[in-house]
Amino acid sequence: MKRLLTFLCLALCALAVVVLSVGCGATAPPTPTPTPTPTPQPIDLAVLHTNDVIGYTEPCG
Amino acid sequence: MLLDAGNALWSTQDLALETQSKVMIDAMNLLGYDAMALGDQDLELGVDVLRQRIADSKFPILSANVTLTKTKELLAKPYVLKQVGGHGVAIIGVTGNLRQEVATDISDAYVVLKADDVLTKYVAEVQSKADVIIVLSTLGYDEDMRLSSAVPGIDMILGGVSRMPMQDGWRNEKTGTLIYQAGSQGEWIGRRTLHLDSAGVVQTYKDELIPLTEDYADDPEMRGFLDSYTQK
Repeated sequence: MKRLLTFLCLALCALAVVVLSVGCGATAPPTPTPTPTPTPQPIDLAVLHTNDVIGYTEPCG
Repeated sequence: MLLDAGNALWSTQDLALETQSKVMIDAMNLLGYDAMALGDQDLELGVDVLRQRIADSKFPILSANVTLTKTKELLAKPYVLKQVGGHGVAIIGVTGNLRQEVATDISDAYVVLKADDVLTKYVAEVQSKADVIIVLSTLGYDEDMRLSSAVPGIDMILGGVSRMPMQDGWRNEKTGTLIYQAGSQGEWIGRRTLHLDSAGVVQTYKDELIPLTEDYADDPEMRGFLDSYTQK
């Protein structure tokens, strides 16, 4: 009886391990589709710039 | 993209002195600047005040060649990387030397490194990440021209100190680097339009120097901001 109980316990543990690792009726996860990398397009890059906005009134160099 | 090539902070004007140039940072935050370089005159604020102004700014303040004497660390970030329309844009700042008249308790806090060395280093570092490399420089026009030959790979040097209102840029025929300045004292703003192909190569460019005259009405938000300072 004791051996039977031990066996059943081990069998239940083994079953639990299998179920947890595989899942009940689990199927293989779908292969993820890679997100396409956007292709850079031609652009007009507008750069606005300032310099020496305050400071000394005469140029230094 | 809105950039400043330096010397926008330090001044003997009352409002700048009273606020330790915080008024300038607040105004530039309001204008939506994307980056600025530390100018040689900006260094006269001193390390502690500059650190506060850098913390106050919503945009990166750059200098690839100013280190602190005590720690040998850079005072500011050397460059920033931005993405524009799928293209990487690197912006590197370089600062000129302080005037000899500056008090030693301020000037001794800094070591201004040679621009050639730092630009060579950082251009190499950003080249694989950026289609366009812009240098913001307070070294002066002659030095910008020399650097455009000494350090290949720079698409554009936006400079200052010489305060030249340049309608058209100067192009280094050997390296292709374009050099510009936009006058001084807020009298002009430069607008340079680079046409990049899909590979990120500059194909053509267009130059404008826009005089900021009284023909432009005051922006209500900026007017309100200035009034909040002057009416205190």
